[in-house]
This record gives sequence, structure tokens and C-alpha cells, in this order.
Amino acid sequence: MKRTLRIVMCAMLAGMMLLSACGNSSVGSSGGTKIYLTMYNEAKPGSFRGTLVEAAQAKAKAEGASIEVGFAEDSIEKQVEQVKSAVQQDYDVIICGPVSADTAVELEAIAGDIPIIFICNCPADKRLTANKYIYVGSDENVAGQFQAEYALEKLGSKSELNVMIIKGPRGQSATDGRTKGAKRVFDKSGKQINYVFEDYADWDKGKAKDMFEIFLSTGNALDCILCNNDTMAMGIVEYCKENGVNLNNVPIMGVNAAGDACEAIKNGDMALTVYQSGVGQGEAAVEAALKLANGDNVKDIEGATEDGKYIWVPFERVDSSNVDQYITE
Amino acid sequence: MDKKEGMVSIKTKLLGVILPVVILIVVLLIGISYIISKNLLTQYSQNLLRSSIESQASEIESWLNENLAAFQIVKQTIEGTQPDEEQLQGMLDQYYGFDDNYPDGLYIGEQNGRIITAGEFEGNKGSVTDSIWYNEGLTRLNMGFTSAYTNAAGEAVISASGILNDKSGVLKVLSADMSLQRISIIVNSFVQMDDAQTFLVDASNGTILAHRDNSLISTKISSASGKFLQGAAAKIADYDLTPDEIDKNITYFMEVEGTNWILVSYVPSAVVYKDVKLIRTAMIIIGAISLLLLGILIARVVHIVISPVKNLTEAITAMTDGDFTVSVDTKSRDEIGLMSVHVEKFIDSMRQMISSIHGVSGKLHMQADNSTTVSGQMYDASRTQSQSMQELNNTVEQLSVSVNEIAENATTLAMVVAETRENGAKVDTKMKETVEVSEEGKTDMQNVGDAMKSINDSVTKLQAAIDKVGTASGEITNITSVISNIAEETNLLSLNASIEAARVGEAGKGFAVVATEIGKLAKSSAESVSSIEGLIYEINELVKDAVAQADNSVDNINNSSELVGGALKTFDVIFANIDEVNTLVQEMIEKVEKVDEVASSVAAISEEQAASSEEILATSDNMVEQANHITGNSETVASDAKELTRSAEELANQVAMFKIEKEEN
Repeated sequence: MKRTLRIVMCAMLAGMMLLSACGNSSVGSSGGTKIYLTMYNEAKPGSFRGTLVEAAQAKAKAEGASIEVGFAEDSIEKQVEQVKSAVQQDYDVIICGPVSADTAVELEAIAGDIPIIFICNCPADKRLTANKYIYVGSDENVAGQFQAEYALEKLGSKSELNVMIIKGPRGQSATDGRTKGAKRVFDKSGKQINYVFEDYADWDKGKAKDMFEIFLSTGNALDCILCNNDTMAMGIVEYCKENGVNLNNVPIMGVNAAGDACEAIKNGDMALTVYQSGVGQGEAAVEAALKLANGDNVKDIEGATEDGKYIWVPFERVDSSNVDQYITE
Repeated sequence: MDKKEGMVSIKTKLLGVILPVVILIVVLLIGISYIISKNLLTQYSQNLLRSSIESQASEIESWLNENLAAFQIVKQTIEGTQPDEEQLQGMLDQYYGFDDNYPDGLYIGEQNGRIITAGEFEGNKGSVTDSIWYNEGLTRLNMGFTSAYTNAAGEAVISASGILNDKSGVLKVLSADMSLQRISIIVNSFVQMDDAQTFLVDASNGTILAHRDNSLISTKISSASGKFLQGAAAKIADYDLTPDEIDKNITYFMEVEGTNWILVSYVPSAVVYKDVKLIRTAMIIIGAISLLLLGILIARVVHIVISPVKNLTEAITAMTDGDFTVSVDTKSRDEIGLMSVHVEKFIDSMRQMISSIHGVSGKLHMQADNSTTVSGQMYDASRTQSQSMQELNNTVEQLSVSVNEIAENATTLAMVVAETRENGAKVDTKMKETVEVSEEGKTDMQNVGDAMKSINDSVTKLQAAIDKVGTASGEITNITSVISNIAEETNLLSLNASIEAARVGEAGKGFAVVATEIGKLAKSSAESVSSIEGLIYEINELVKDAVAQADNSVDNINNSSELVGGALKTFDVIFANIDEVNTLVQEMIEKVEKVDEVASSVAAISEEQAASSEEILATSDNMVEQANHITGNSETVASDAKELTRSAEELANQVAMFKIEKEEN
């Protein structure tokens, strides 16, 4: 018995040592970490992605890490190629704004032992692994919540709300999260909510304009317009201006706090936008990247969830009261 | 030897140790494998259910999307081609019965209430502007699903509808109906796990879109009965889509992308755990059987191994009872066999030994008897000896006391003698001093004699001198008488002179004065002569006395001289006597010294004797003790001898108990 026990113990010990040895092997050098960042599409300066990439580069430089940025031009093939070459070039960690969140499995498989920090487009929860494949971003639901809360504040006197929702592309996490976040707040408000129009305008200004035009032709009543992003909200603002439509203070809401949207809020054309901190996300992504490259835990990073799969960079609500802070020269 | 009392057989012991261990191991093995397989199976089942619901959801999604895409193509075609009425009707006609999912094909409702359906469709879509498909279709440009409703034909359906943007200026909605029953069948057909069930809920209003139980379709899940549905409804209302066990069903929730629909998949926990239970049962049975088999096997093996030990035990038990007539069969060639062989040898040697012990014990018995007698005698002898020794001891003790006394006396004597010797020495000294003194006395006495003689001479000379004094004084008296006569004649001359002076008158006055003065001198001379005469008389008297006394002294001196001579003689006698005494004292001292020596040695010797006598006493005490010991020992020996006799008897009896020859019967 004793002997058997001893053998079992020995085997367990050996196993543990092996495991810990494996764990140690992933520890890389602390300084000079090589980060590869692939973004699904170009990042124009001043845009959300542009801000994010710039912030990531600045943060990496400040931390003494090197960062290489690639753009996938919305091509999953190109992005996969980029990740493959990053693996070959022995990058320590990859930050990836995936073209499609569904390709996460493939990207993870290619990356092998290299940790990936997903940004911009959140893969399904089951594709994320604590401290290995994590997502840095803002909780999309919160953006939707801010919009719905604002609508309920402004239109609290009405017992029935006619809501228009202009959504991003079908199947994107931002689209689903923002829409659901708003709907849940509405559902709980106890008011009769009529979704008088709800369709996918795919972040596109023109589509939003078209849809708004068609909606107007239905003649349905309208109390508020929730857009999944500012571009589409601006489409509606532009349509109204171009066609002399007076919405009678129907609040138009967007997400991203883009420059034109902030101006529109200042002018009173738009009611609300939600600032998604490109800087915050870029910095948090690099911070997480450095931790993961060193085999550390992301627990200490602000906004990290307990399961170690997400780092939430908070959204900020932007309306006429505080819009000036978000207008950049 | 009672075999049963407190005895645990080897078999019981072996089984008692091995069986619990075996049971423990088997139970542990089975327990561990059960737990592992349970966890594996549970996880497997859950994974299966999860992947089932995931693929189900994605299949439903793709099924929906497929249909939506089909509708979207039609819509885009219409929008792109902007057909006229006839062409449009033609297109719609084509889709009638084109797909089983939407057998009625597509139809278009217009703002003004007009409806265009496929030509072959003979049903009724109800009032356009009041219909759900039209109103919900108006909320989107892309085709999407409406909420569930019951159509004019009484069927629970959902429609896929959206605004047909043909730029005709008339608001149109393109729509196609899909039966929920069909969707239910399709949804449940996608179930990949046995015994798992699925239903579809529209989360926006809680309507059940698809369920195997048709009666539930199109009803609100919140109003459904049953714990499970209520539990699922509560979770959906809370947007809590984490897997859960509801009413003994493992339940998974999955959102269908692009819709508000939630696919709920569940499988009774019992199903998941069915295999687990099966394994548990199988393992318990296997465990029980293997335990039983192992138990029997071990018992048999132990029995077979132990049985020679049993024979041995019997033989040994018989030996214990003194029966050495037994024999041990040796069959096995293992340790026990070896043991048997040796026991057999042992029995043989015991037999021989016991028979020789028999003989020996007889002899021993006799010897013991002898020794009893001898020890009795020895006891008596030693007692007598002990008594004698005691007496001797007493005597020695007395002797010791006496010797001690002698020693003490001798010591005292020695001390006295020593003192005497010292005193003798002192006496000797004194004697010598006395001799010296008496010699001095004798000398003095002779001196006295001499002095006495010279005194006598002096006194004689004094007598003569005194006599001369007497003669001188007579002469003096004669002289004085002359003087006295002169003085008287003078005096008479002075008187005559004075008478004559007186006649001369004044010129004779000075002579008269000298004549008176001469008269006065003559008178005082006469007076002095008379006092000298007195004195001489006195001297004569004194001389006479002195002569008388001198005579006396001479007599006395003569007497003294005689006495001194006598004293001298006496001194000589004393001297002689002292000398004699001195000699005697010297002799005495010598003798005393001898006595001192003798006394000292006597004291030393007697002290030695005292010490020796004490040693003798101690020794004799020891001897008494020894003697007493010997008495005690001889007593013990006597009793031992008796004991020995008894033991010898007992031994004989004991030995007699061993059977070394088979009895005749």
C-alpha cells in the first residue's frame, strides 16, 4: 500500500514539475517585447481605429517594447497571412482587430503559443481563454444602455415610445451588443416600446439616409433615433438638413464621439454619442500584451473581468453638457 | 492449554489483514474510476449538449438565413428590375409551392390595402394594414422575421417581411409565411443528442415559436405551466443565458443570431447521468464479484497454506500435553514442510531426553534425600558452633574490657611515674642547692667562730684598756686634788690680796678687782675640779661596769664559741646526711626513670593489646554472625534439601507424565 502510494505521489510530483516547467517556458524577456498589431482595416488619423493604433504605438514605445502594425484591408486571408508571418518572425504577442470574430479559432490555432489580444471585434466567449486569448474593448451593451437611458430621460413623460434603431452590420458584436443593451433598458422601463424601424445600415451613411427616407414614407410616428454608430446618425442629420426635414427635437443618438458627431451635438443636431476611448483601448491592449508576453496575469489591469478573458475600457456618455471635452482641434 | 480462549487463528489474522486491504483497494479503485468516469461522462454529456445546441442554433440560423436570403434575392430582383404588374405576378407565381418552407410563396401588401399573391394561392392573408406581417415589415428594408401570429387560416405562423423599395411611390411590403409547426419540426430535427429537446422563444415578447408540443406554439412562455418552462422563462426574462439545471433538466440557451430568438435545449439530467448510473451499477457489481472471488481465493489459499500448520499445531498441542508419541507427516516442501521435519526431529530428541531425565530424576531423588539428612546434621552442628562462638565472643568482650582498663591504668601509671621523675629531678636540684647552702652555712659558721675568737681577743684587750683607764683616772684624781689645793691657796691669797688692796685704799682698788677676779677663778677652778672628780668617779664606776660587762662578754663569747663549735659539728653531720640523701635521691631518680620506661612501654603495649582485643572482638563478632549465617544457611540448605527432595519427587512425577512409548492398547 505504502509503496503504491509512494509511486503515485512520485508520479504526481513529476507531473507537477513537468507542468510548472512548461508554464515557465512561455516566460519571455521583459524588455524589448515584440508586439504585432493587425487591424482589420486602415486606421485614418483621428478616427477611432487611428486613435487606437496611435495610442498603442505610443504606449509600446513608452514601455520599451517594439510594435509592428499591419492592416488587413477587410480580408480574412490577408489577416491570416499577417498572423502567420508574425509567428514566423517570433513576435511575442499579437494584438488583433479581427476582420471577422468568427476567425478567432483559426487565428488562435495559427498563433500557437503566442497570446492574442483581440480588439474592436469581440470573438465568442468560448473562443477566449483566460490570460491567453483575451478581448480588450468596451462593453458594447453599455453604449446601447446610455442611448436608451438618455431617451427615457428626455421622453420620460410619454407612456409609449416609437423607437428607430439603425444598426451596424449583421452579426457584428458591436451591432448586437449595442442594440441589445438599448433594448434591455427599454424593456425594463415599463413603457410601451414600438420599434418603428430597425434595420442594418452596416455603419454606412448612405444606407442610413436611404432607410430614413423610406421610414419617413411609412408616416409612422417617431420619438427617438438610436444609431449603432455616429456615421449613421450623421447620415440622418445630413438627410434632414439636405431635405429640410424638421424632426421636432427627436433625439438622434450615435456611438463613438466622432468629430462631426460632437460638432453636431454642439449644434443641437444630435443629442448624444458615446465615447469609446480609442486611447484607452490602445493602451490597455498594449498593457495586456506586455503582461501576457511575460506570462503574467491580466488581473491587475483596470477593468479586467474576474474570469481573465476581458478587459473593459469604459464608455463615456457625451451630450451637450460635456461635448466640449471631446472636440479636438 | 485452552485452544479457544483468546486465541486468534492465523487464518483469521491473515484474512483480517488482507481482506480489509483488498476491500479498501477495490473500493478505492472503483470509487476513483467511478468519480473520474462520472466527471468525464458528465462533462462529455454537457459538451455534447452544448455542441448540439450550438450546431442546432447555427443550423437554424443558416436555415433562417437561407430562407431570408432567398426572399432577399426576390426582393432585390423586384427592386432592381422594377417589373410591371404582370411581370411581378409572374415572379410571385413562380414561388408558389417552390419551397416547402413557405408553400404559399411570396406576396406583397400595399399601403392602400391591396395584396398581390401568387395566382394559385386561394387563401386569405387578412387585412393588409392591420396585419402583423405588413406592420412589422414596414420597420425594415431588409427582410426579417416578424413575431409569431395566427393567420387568417388559423395557423400559427411567422412571416419574413420587409419594405419593397421599388421606388414606385407606393409603400409595399414583401412577405412570406412560414408555419411555426414546420419550424418546430425542423428545429427539433436538428437535435443532435438523444433524448434532448429544443424549443425556440422570441425573447422580445416571450412567445414560444417552436416546441415539440404543438399546443405550446405561439403561446407565451411566461404563462406556460410546469416548473421547467417557468424556470426557463425566468432565466430568459433576466437575460441570463448561462447553462443551468432546471427541474432536473440540464438546460442550455443560445441566441439565434440576427433575431431576438432564443433556442432552449435541454436534456433530462437522468439521461446525462444514465450512463453514469450504469457505470456505477456495473462497477458496484464488478466490485462485489471481484471482492467475493478474491475473498474466496484468499480464504482457500490461506487454508491450503495453513493446513500443514494445523497438523503441526495439533502435534505441538499434544506435545504440550506431554504426549510425545505423536508424529508429524511431512508432505509439503516449503517452509512449513521444513518446520514439520524439524518438529519431528524435535519430538525424537525430546523422547530420548525425557527417558534420560527419568533416570536422572531417580538418582536425583536419592541424592536429595541424602542431602536432606546431611543438611540436618549440618544445621545442628552449625547451631552448636554458633552458640560456642557466642560464648567465646562474650569472653573476648570481657577480655577486651579488662585490657582496656589495664591500658588505661598503665597510661595513668606512666603519667604518674613521669611526674615523679620530674619531681625527683626537682628534689635532686633542691638537694644540691641545700648542700651548697649548708656548705655556705658551714663556712659562715667557721667565720663566726673566727670572729668570736677575735671578739674575745678584742674584749680581753678592752679589759686591759679599761684597766688602764681606771689607773689613769686615779692619777687624774691625784692631779685634781693638787689643783684643788692650789685653787684653795690661790683663793686664800686673793682674799689676803683683797684685804691688803682694801687697806691700800684707792690705789689698791685695781688690785682689789684683780684680786677678786683671781678669787673667782680660783673658785671656778675649785668647782671644775670638783665636777672632774665627779666625772672621774662616774668613769670609775663605768669602767668598773665595763670591766664587769667585759668579763661577762668574755664569758658569753666563750659560751658562743663553744656553741659555734657545736654548730659546726652539727653542720658537718647535716652535710653528711644531705650527701647521703642526695645519693639516695639520685638512685631513686634512676630507678624512677627505669619505672617510667617500663610504665610507658606497658601503656603502649596495653594500648596495642586493647586495639588487638577490639579487633579480636570484632572478628569474634563476625564469627558469631558467620556462625549465625551458617546456621541460617544450613537451615536454608536443609529446607532447600527438603525442597529438592520434593522437586525430585515432582520431577519424577512430571517426567512420568511424558509418554514416550506407545501404550500397548
